[in-house]
Amino acid sequence: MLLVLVSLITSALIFKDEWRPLSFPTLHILGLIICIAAAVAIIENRIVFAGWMMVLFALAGAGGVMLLSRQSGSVAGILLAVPIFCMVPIVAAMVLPYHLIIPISLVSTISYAIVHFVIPTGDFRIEGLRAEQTTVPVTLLLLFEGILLRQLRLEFDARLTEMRKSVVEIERAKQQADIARQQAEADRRRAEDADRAKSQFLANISHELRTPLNAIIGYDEAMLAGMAGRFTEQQHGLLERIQYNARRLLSLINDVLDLSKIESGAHEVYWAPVDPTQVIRTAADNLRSLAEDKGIGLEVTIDPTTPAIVMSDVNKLEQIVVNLLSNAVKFTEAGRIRIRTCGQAGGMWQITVSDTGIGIPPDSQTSIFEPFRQVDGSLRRRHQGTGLGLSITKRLVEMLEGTISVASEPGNGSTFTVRFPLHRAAAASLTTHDR
Amino acid sequence: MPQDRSLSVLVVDSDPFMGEIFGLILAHYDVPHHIVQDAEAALAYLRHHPVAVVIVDCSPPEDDSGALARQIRDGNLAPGAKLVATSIFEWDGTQPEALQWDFDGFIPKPFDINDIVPYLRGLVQDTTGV
Repeated sequence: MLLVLVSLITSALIFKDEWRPLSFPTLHILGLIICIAAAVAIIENRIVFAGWMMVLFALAGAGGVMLLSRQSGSVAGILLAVPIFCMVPIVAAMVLPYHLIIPISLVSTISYAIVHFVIPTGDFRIEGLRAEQTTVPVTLLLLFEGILLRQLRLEFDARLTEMRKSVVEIERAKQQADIARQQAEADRRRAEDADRAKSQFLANISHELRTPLNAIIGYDEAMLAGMAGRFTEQQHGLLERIQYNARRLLSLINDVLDLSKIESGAHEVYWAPVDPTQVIRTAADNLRSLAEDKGIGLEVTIDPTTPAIVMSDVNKLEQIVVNLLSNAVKFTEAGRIRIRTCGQAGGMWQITVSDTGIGIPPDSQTSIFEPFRQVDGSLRRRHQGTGLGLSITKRLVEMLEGTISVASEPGNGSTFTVRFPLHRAAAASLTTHDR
Repeated sequence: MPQDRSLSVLVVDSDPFMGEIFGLILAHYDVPHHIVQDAEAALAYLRHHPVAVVIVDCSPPEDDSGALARQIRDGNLAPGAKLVATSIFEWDGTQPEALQWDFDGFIPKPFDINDIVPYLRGLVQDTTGV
């Protein structure tokens, strides 16, 4: 505003005797008014109106420059007016709707022609070129410019539309991602709640099933031990059968609950340094009498390459060894069972349990690790058990980040091999037993 | 069998049948004992009767046997007594938890009835603790 006032005052002082409609001061003031209007429109965010003002300004400016130059007999205005007229469609293309570009370009062309042919001019001439001779090329230039700008504007609008669409799509994708994240979070919370409920249920059912069974076993043991008087030989035998079957049932319940607990992820691994030799010897000692009762030998081989300490979970490792040995005892009628442990290249160590039992047909060697599978699935099968032992063993091995495999030939026995990685501290302090 | 006066036992088990089985075993070995079913009754008994061993049944995860052990220890209700946890949860970390709760020993269920009294005697004679 201050600049406009200063301009007006300056114009009035310098050009006080030239206040004609087409004089420089008049055009100057017109230009200033248009600028003010455009500035106000821009501040109020009325961009189209501001565009109109700028178009008007460019038209007035170009017309004014031509008129003044022709009145004063100067050729400079003729040449300068052309780029100023060219500015008119450019301004229109930048701000106004695209369908107005060509009309504005025509207005610009017509204005240029009017200035040339309608408004009287002073006496001036460019050597070898009359001013009117510039009309045709400038008119065509302005028309082509309008067409070009319209095309450019259409292209620009199309790209802008695509960009806006992309932005909208990105926003939508972001919203969907947010919704998906919230959904995933809610699902995770629900899964955690379900897991907690399942763990709680397992703990409860485990308690409810095993408590009365423990009582049955306890009462029966008390009677067998003569704590409730003397029994005949036949009664004693019956009590032993109760004991045997109650313990079978307890073992079954333990297996089912164990598997459920492993599959629900409720089983935690307590990593700690473990002496594998001790675990294997203890498990073998506990099962030796069971094997000897069947007339089967049980050999333990600790290879010198066996690591002295491994990182493992002692209870789970022991359960793995006991399960494999129990399985071997169960399915071997004669011969021997051999358990061997050794270190392996590539930071591994392994346990091998081999037997001279009935063996496993090739087509069953994968399915034996599935729950409730026994090679002999018939109701009249000879070998008792839930068929959960190897399934539980496989899951325990996987919890300890190991692998289990079997090699077997029907009639010639089986060899189960369990491989574990040597973890962290154990690998760092890898030593072998000096035996 | 002569009564083992050096070994007096309080059994805290919410299951009356398991309590009765403990009673049968302890009676068979002529060990003075008392059986209660909850912590409140246990604390009431201990206020008036010194014992050598307190056997507490643990049923994690929602279980107040740890709180009972702390109350007995903090209230000095059984000075010099050994606290023994017993539980059917033998394979999932109950034993380490029981020891964390300041128990001196652990009896997993099902147990061999012939092992209980020798185990308790060994615990009482071991003055260094578990």
